Amino acid sequence: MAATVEISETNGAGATVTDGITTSGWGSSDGANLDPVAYPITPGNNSYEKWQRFHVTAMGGSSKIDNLQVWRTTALGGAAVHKTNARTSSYGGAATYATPVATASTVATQTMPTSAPGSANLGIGGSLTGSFTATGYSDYLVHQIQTNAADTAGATTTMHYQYDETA
Amino acid sequence: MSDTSAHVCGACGGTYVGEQAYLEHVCERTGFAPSQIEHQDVMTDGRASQVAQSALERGAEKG
Repeated sequence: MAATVEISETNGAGATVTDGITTSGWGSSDGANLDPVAYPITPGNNSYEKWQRFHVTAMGGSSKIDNLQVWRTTALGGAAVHKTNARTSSYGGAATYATPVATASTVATQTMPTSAPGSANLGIGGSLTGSFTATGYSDYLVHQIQTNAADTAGATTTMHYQYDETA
Repeated sequence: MSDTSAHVCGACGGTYVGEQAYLEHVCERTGFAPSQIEHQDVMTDGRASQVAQSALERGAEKG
């Protein structure tokens, strides 16, 4: 039996947690499982920040989960960039939740990797070497799409969330 | 400190006060609790079990 892990997203001033999201859906509104067609980003604007976490819902008999890695594959539309707080060095520790904004994020300031980073780039308990030994949440992964006025709406991309599990 | 934040199940949309209440609910959409791999598999067309297996293999390689 293996551990059970899902991705959760926090939204709004009330910090509502949606556990087990199925899409990131960046858009012009702050919401989990957002439909970006209903809330498109006007070229030149930013998406609302995404505040997401790994959520271990059961250890399934395993002793440890660690080495959280996050990256994106497939290109964004035009000159859009994807910013994040995830990084393999000079990690800023656990970000404290703040209501997501659509202005340029002051938390997500590094470029999201487009391949597996090779080592942890998101922490547990504020540290890249942290681990889960029981159910709980990781540090927040904060990320945002920042578009250019010349971009074309309608881009899709794939997020990857990876962890290691020790039986 | 107890978790009194609102937790919404991404599958059935039910709202629960605190993580524990969310973990213990039986999802109306999947028929399983979120702590069961079957719940995740219904939501991901079976990919959750594959992801878990890959995670175990990486862990085993590290020793």
